[in-house]
Amino acid sequence: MEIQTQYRGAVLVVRPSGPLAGADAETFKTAMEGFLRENLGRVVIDASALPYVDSKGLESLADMAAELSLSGKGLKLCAANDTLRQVIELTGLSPQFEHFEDANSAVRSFL
Amino acid sequence: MHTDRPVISKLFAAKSDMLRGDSLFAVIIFVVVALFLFNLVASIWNNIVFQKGIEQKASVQHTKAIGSVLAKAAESLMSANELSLLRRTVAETALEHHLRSCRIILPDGAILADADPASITLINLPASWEGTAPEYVEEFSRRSMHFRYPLTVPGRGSATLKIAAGIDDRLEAALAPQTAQMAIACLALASMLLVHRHSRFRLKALGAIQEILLAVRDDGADISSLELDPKLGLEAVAWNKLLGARQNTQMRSAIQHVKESVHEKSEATEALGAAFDAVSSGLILVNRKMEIEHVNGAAAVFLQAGRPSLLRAQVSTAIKDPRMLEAVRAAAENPAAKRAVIEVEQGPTVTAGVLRFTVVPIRQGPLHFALVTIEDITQQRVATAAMNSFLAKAAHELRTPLTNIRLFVEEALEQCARDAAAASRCLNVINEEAQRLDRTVAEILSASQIEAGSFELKRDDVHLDTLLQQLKADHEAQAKEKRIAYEFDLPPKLPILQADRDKISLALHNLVGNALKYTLDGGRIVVSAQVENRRLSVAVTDTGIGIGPEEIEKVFEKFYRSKNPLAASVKGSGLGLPIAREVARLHGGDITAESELGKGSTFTLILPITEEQA
Repeated sequence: MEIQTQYRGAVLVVRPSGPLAGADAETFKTAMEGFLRENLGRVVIDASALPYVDSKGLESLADMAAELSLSGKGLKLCAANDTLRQVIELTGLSPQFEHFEDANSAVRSFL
Repeated sequence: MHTDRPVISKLFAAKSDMLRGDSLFAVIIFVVVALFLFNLVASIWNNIVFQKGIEQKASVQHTKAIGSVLAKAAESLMSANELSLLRRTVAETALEHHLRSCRIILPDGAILADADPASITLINLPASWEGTAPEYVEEFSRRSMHFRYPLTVPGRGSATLKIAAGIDDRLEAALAPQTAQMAIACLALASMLLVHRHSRFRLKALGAIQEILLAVRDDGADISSLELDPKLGLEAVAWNKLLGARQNTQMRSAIQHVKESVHEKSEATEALGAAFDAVSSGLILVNRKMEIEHVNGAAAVFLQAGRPSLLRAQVSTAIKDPRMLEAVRAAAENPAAKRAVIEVEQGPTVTAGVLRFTVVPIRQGPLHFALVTIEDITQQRVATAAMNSFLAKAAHELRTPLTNIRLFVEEALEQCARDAAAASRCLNVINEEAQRLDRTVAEILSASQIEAGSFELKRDDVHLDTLLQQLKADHEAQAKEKRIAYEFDLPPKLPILQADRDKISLALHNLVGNALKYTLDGGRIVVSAQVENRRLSVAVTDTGIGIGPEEIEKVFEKFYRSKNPLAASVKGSGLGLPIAREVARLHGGDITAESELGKGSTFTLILPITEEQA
């Protein structure tokens, strides 16, 4: 899995490419923990290049959301495809995430 | 228990003071029964004594009568010398009337007849005998009576009839029913006494319980203060146990109530804590001792410290800024202190951010606190700075062609009368600058739409082959002008995309336009397309000046201009690549860049496609 990052203002947009599954889920979670810590939680996950997630991937996303909720923040996802949205919806995890149509909207939510 | 009670209760109390625990009714019943039994015993005893006297008299009379009759009969039989009949009569009489002894004795002591024939000492009656006739004698002892009757046998002499009979045996047998009755009555009385002795002890406890219940009914006395002396018996112990059980129940109920209250309070506190943590702003409550009373999760993140280490710690361990500390101290000590707002730069990098601390005093009764609210305003700062920068750069980009237009308009006005050719050149430049201005304004609009989030897609069928042919045609002249080999390497069949045609076209034009701008004369540009793994890749490869690795991502930032001196002369707004990438990302794809300084670059537009489209 390739993870691209880009600062938009003070917000870091993290763009993982490829399925969030198996060992990649743990790699992504570790990387995200570093990003969240360094940026005081000002991080957006651009899911436009995430074709699908498996149970480990979902678990890593849910763990991150739970960690952020302890400080009153939410995990911001943007541009997730229909498959990913349906998976999140069906597993009842949607209340744990903030979803935006695109990265700009997600970044603006930090204003 | 002893205050303001009704008269009846006071009487009860007075009685209980004298005979605590006794039931009056039970005592009365007992006394009546005891008197009755005692009377019965006395009556029976009296009856026995009376009856005994009567029976004794009757027995004496009876024995005397027997003696008299037997004496008369004996005189007659002795006169007639009927000794055997006499003897039989004596024996039968003694036997029939339960006489202890019955005999006829001559004066010389010879026994003529006896109840026991073996005692007879004189077989035949003499013709005459001497001796005087005895007198009639009665003798009574406790258990027997003795009679002596004088017998006179005409012509022969005198004799004596002795009769002895028992008294008690017959009397006691006659008085046995009364004796039994009296025994039963005595037994009953004794039993009654025993029962009373036992029940009185028991009744004491019951009476005491009754008094307590009456007292509780009357004035609702506290039952817990009415324990009985355990010496009053099992009932008292049981009563005390009941009281204890009741007290335990009340205690458990009170404890349960307290627990529930504490639990409710704890739940409320937890809910409040959860709400406190759900706030995205950091919140810190500081007491007058400058200790942190409460801190939420967001504050811990902003201060980059663990919550447990912050709780009860001095606020100075978490906040170092002296202005902040002074404001917190003022608010914690003085509830009338003014609200203070302090913005603090956290570290040198933009990621560390700018935090806004707002300190307000809070008064809760006698307690004073300072509430510190921490907000992350980094993004606002960055956005404001970006907007200012954008406006400055946009103004610059607009001013450059406008300046050219103004200059060449002046030149054209001066030359138009003298030199028509020069005027025409001026007008051409003005036209080019106007077109550049138009493009710049369009790009700025697109960029502002991106910034505002209103950069929307209008998806439709996009025939990629047609689009790329148009792209080729649009830039061929410019490529030819720079003697650049402008080539297209396309597969025989290209998919039809569901995309925004104008924006995809804009993105591709920006990529090819950039390649043409940064490729020197005589260079080469190749546009290739590829479909694999449900992705369409359109790569624009040039042999241009290239981009250094430190700039490869920055070229996608708005208004960024390369620091490469070779790029300085190239006109551009710095918005083409950011817009192109945004277009790609809005379609769920991206634009990637690979470049080597001095050798060229490859920008690849990647778009997702469906299986049907592929």
